[in-house]
Amino acid sequence: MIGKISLNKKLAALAILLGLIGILAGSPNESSAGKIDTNQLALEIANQSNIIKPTDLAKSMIDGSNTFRMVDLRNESDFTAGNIEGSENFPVAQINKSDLRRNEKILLYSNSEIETAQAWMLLKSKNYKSVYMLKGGWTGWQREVLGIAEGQTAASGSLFGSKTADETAVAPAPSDGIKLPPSMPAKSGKKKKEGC
Amino acid sequence: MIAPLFKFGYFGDEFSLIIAVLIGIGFGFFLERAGFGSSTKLAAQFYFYDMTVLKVMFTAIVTAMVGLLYFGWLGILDLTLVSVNQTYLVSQIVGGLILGVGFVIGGYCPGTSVVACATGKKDAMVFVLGVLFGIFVFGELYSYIFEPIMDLSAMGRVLLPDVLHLSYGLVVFLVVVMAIGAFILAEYVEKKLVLKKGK
Repeated sequence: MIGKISLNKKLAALAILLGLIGILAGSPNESSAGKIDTNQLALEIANQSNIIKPTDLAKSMIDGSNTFRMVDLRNESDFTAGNIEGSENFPVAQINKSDLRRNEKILLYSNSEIETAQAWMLLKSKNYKSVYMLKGGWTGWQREVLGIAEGQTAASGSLFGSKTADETAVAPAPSDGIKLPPSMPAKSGKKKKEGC
Repeated sequence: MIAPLFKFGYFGDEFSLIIAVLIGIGFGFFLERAGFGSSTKLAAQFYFYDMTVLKVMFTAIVTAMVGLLYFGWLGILDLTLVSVNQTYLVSQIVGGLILGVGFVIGGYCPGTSVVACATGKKDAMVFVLGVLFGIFVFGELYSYIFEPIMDLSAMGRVLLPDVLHLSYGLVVFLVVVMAIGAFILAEYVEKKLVLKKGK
């Protein structure tokens, strides 16, 4: 029976079938399913190559070599109260709906390192290629770069970390003597023209 | 591994050029095998004697579209990173009409002219010279004339599911149905015209 149907008709039927299943399949962009390469993840965790030190980040921001897309996982009020300049706010529950791209270098931070690590695992399982975590999170940044002890508010004297802070104020001396410029140059997005 | 491989840095610029050459050779080979190295066959499309162009193009669209949908769905491909040419609605309608006129007059489109060149067709070689001259003039005048005009109708990355507010899968299905409808119509028209010619 099937042998009598021409190849063209078979292919047409296949295309219709795949199209029909496609309706049910839903969006190819919003799949919440993930898959992980556990060996590769284990290696990254063992080498700690997914952890960035606050001082290293600060240095790269100063010399303009920072290529991270920085993601603040805290809630909105914490974010507006003070954040790392240039970072974006995606509270962890909304990370699935963020516009982060899988080939971007992403740096996560939060108040809680556990939360950051969970978000890291979540993104890695969704095939995000380069995801990093800031050691110590927001408190680590405050302590090591802004020189603010725990408990103090960010607005008390920071010019670098907090957008609410006075830009002209002098920052407390960072623990390892990094001088921070009052304003960072905006990251210029390199965009290649592409097409056929 | 997840595609697009280049965007994820699995290989660099140099290796991507090698891949481009390989894909280009494959593309050209299959265009030639489909008969697209002949201006008479291509021009016949516009007289509806031979609807091969329409069939090949729609087949390619459906194949690629279904492939992208399922690869995206399976997580092998990140569709948001697949390059989509920007939409310039008015410019593209005008440009499409100009290209169409050139296609009817010359018997080739830019890709098929190169294919025909490779098989030694002289008309195609002249056509390619014309294409290169056009590219040169367009390129030289781009920032003075064409860019300001194009910017008037720049719409960025536009996808049918977003414009129509339909799900991605439904759009895929509708395009498949449209393609098969076009195939049936094309075969019907071909038969009618061949009968009319008394063959």
